Amino acid sequence: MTRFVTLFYRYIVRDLAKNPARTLLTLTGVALGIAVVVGVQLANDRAIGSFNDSLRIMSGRADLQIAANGLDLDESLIGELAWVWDVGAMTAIIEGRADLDTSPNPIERESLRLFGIDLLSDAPFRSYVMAEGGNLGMDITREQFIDLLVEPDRIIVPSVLADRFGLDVGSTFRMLIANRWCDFRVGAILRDEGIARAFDGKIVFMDIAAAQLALNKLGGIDRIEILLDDPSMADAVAERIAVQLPESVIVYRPEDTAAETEKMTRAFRYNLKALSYIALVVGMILIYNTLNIAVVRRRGEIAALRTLGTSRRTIRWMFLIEATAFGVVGAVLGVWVGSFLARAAGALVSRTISMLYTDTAVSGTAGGPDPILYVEMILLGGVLAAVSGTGPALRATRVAPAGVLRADVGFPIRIRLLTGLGLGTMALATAFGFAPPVDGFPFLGYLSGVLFILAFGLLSPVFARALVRIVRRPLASILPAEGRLAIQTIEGSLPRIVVAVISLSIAVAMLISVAIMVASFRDTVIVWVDRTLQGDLYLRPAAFGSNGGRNVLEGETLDVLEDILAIAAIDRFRGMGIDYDGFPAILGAGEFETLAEYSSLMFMGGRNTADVARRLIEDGSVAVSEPFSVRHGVGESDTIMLPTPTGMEPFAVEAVFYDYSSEGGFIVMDRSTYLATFDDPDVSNVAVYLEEGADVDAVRAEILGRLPDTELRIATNGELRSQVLGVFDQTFQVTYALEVIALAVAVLGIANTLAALIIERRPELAMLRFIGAARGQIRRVIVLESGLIGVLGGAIGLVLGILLSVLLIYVINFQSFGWTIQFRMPWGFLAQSLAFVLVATVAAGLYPASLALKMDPIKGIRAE
Amino acid sequence: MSPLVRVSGVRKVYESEGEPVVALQNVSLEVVPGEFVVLMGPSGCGKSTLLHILGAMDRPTSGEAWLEDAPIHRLPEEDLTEIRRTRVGFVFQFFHLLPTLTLEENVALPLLLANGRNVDSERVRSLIETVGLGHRRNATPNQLSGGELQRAAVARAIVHDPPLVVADEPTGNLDSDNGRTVLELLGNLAANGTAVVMATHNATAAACGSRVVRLIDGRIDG
Repeated sequence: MTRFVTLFYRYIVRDLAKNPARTLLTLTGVALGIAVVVGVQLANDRAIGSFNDSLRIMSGRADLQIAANGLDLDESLIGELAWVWDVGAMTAIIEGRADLDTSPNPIERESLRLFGIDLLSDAPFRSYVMAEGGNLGMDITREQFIDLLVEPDRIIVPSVLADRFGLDVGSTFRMLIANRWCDFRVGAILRDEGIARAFDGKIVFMDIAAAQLALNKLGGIDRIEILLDDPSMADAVAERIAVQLPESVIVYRPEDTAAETEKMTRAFRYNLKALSYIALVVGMILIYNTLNIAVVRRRGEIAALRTLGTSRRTIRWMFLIEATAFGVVGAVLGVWVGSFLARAAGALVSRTISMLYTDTAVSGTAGGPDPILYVEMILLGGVLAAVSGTGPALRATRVAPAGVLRADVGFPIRIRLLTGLGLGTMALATAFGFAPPVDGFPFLGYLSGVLFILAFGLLSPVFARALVRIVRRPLASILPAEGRLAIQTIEGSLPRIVVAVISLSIAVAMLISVAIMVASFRDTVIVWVDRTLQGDLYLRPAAFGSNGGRNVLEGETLDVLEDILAIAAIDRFRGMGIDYDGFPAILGAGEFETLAEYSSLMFMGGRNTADVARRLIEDGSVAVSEPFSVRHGVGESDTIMLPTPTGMEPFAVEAVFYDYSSEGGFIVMDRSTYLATFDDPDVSNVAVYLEEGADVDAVRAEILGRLPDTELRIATNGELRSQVLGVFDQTFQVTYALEVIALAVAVLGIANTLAALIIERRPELAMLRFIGAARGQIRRVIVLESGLIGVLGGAIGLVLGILLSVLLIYVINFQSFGWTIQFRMPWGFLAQSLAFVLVATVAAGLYPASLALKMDPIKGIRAE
Repeated sequence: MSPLVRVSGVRKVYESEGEPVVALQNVSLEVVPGEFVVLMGPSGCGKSTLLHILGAMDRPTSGEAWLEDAPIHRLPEEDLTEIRRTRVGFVFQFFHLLPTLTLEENVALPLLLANGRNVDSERVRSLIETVGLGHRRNATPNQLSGGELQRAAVARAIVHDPPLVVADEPTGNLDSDNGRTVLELLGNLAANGTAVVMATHNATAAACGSRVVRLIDGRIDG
């Protein structure tokens, strides 16, 4: 053992120390790969975790919850469930949203959650610890309690919020609810613990009766919570409640909500995670490459060690341990860097998740270290590195003792065998590309992507050889000496440089595939926006979100719209979130007659909006959006069951329309059907169509002028379009960051490969200096070699990237989100990316070139 | 006849691990065109160092070194490169042919570096014939024997028609038959007017030279 350690130290560690730049490059590559995975994992966990933590804290000690699937529950239900008091406790909750007066721009305003709680029955469910000590419902004074109970404007605020806005008991606090600014008075302040920390403290409580008033929800509640004396009875109690209540009312355990969030955001998080692993894969290829080259470079020394009696096993273990050490040390660095990266990524991921899914801003940047993840990543780094190092280690054991006397040209690659394997893998990848989703998730699509990458890796030598033949002549005619030398070196060293080419091509392919997917998606969205957003103005209440369908326009607003002459028509839309088969969806109702006259929807099968509109109005049927159709397997002529005030009702599906605004999907019906079924005249938002020649800004000003106390968000067509695209662009910011990091790791790999080749080629380069090659010529040869690797990696990456983009668009994205995207090549971006890759790889050649020029040719010529 | 190469009072000091090491001490030598000078002496006596100075690969620490009208001792790096490219041919003990180039491409390399696309292919091929490798011109170095490699290296050294050929232990890695062939080639060069300076510690090889210069501890003996 001691002998092995001594040998390892003298042979491996000293060599690493002697080549600090190369060692550092490899470690940086691995560290970046691990850092990206850690950063994305932490960001994902924190964004979802903090949201779910908040839900858990808010659900308190409840064993069961009852809700009406998007509709209001009648508060009289509590009386019907009076028997529950015999087996436990029961309380009612109302939940709404309010905007804070943090910005004059409605879009930039922060929002908070407003909870109406039954002060008399809530105590067993949640602990409200007051800032000055004492517990709400138990320890606060009778006067304080009665004050909170009877005064409709009293709120309880967490100390975080109180500190931020300088609030004391008795202070006034202004909040925007739906269309109105309302002044509330602070009745009590919660200490910064437990419930006060939910949703980052952006939360206020008030008595349920006051909340009903504030949220325009008299007689209605959002959910009933039940705390059982014997929690093991939960299933039995749930069953009894389900039998007693209408079908549209659902009974569930609080933890089901967290599971739903996980499920809802799964595709988004997995896509991000898959992308983050690309940098890690590229980092591991870097380890493989470094060791492979080390084995070739040191084959003479290995042969000498073998001649002196070192066993194959010792040689194998030395290289395997070297690889593992690279993985572990790189991972330790990566974990450290990743924890910082998580802060930046956390903000972006959290913002995107809250924007797309949870509708709640939770910071996602907070959160301490995650030791289990760190240990996992360090182990992963070690194991993957050991796997990467296995090939080179085995190759090292194959160096014969006699090899010391005769240097060979490296290790051969069997191009025919690799090509055969590559074509086979490609066939398998294609087959998986056509496979359906598994449990609603494109597992086989991802597998197909991995196999395509593997296939291209195997085919890279044959591609590279063919490409070298293509560029040989033009390059030699431009730079006869340097060009020919560079080409010859690349061709002759193909077995050694092919790994760098592969890692670069993977990074380029990922960048290109995502760029094509995003550009195609963006263009599709633009076409969709052009076709479907034809209104001149769009109105909605100013407060954030739909507020569970309760942020509705006031009757006065609708009257004003009817009254303005320049308005030709309005399309009143009512939308509310429901749960359909375990997934959120939006149940909506619009005025299809107006829609057919002034605008359109894009229906599958090219169906005409007017035809579909007529059928929806006449038959009382519904249309569903494509994501809804794909996720739930619902199409034209199917029947779906929807929650209505009278229970679950069947609705025929008339048509499926393209929509890119909601991943959960839409179910829409005509307003006449909605009014007849739901008896709900409210309007969530309105599309306004103006008379020809009417001035949009003048009409907007007139609406606002006639409704001075109403807070509306009015967007012109152009503003709404840019908002839609703004959300779109923000969603893909993290994606691009990940791609660029993977590319950086690949470029490091090229510098590393070339640096190692330079050391190996020391005698050759010295000879060139002896026979009259100028320093500039040597530099140009090496930079050209680097550039050629860039061209090879870029070209292979381009082809692979286009293939992967097809997979992303037609398989992975479609199976994940249900969106049909029209394929489009972003030529400008692709040209820029490839130019960047070329410049980066040429720059990567400067380091090995400087190494070559620093070498003393006189020593180099003796190096044999 | 005026000398092609002239060194006078040359001293060369290297630094090794912070300590100065004197490689050459007050060395003076002249070589005229057509002369085949052999440098002999034990390992470390300064033969290679002197060859490198003669071949414009290195500059003396002090003293003067001239190749025709070019003051090697004070020319900048770029000018020395130009001199090597046009006026010197090198033959090495380990051949140093590029493994990824064919024999013909290896021989043409100095012309390629000097002239770019204007490589005189006829001359390259005729030289390859001269060294007896016409049938092997498309072979790569790993397909050639040691003797063939060194003959190719000689062809590469003279392809640009240099007035001076410098050879460092050219037979050190060859068997006696191949060694003899290479020495004959070098002898023929000298006979045709090229100045050849060869370092060796092989007495048989030294016998082929027209003059033997012995070096001991960095000084010329006698």
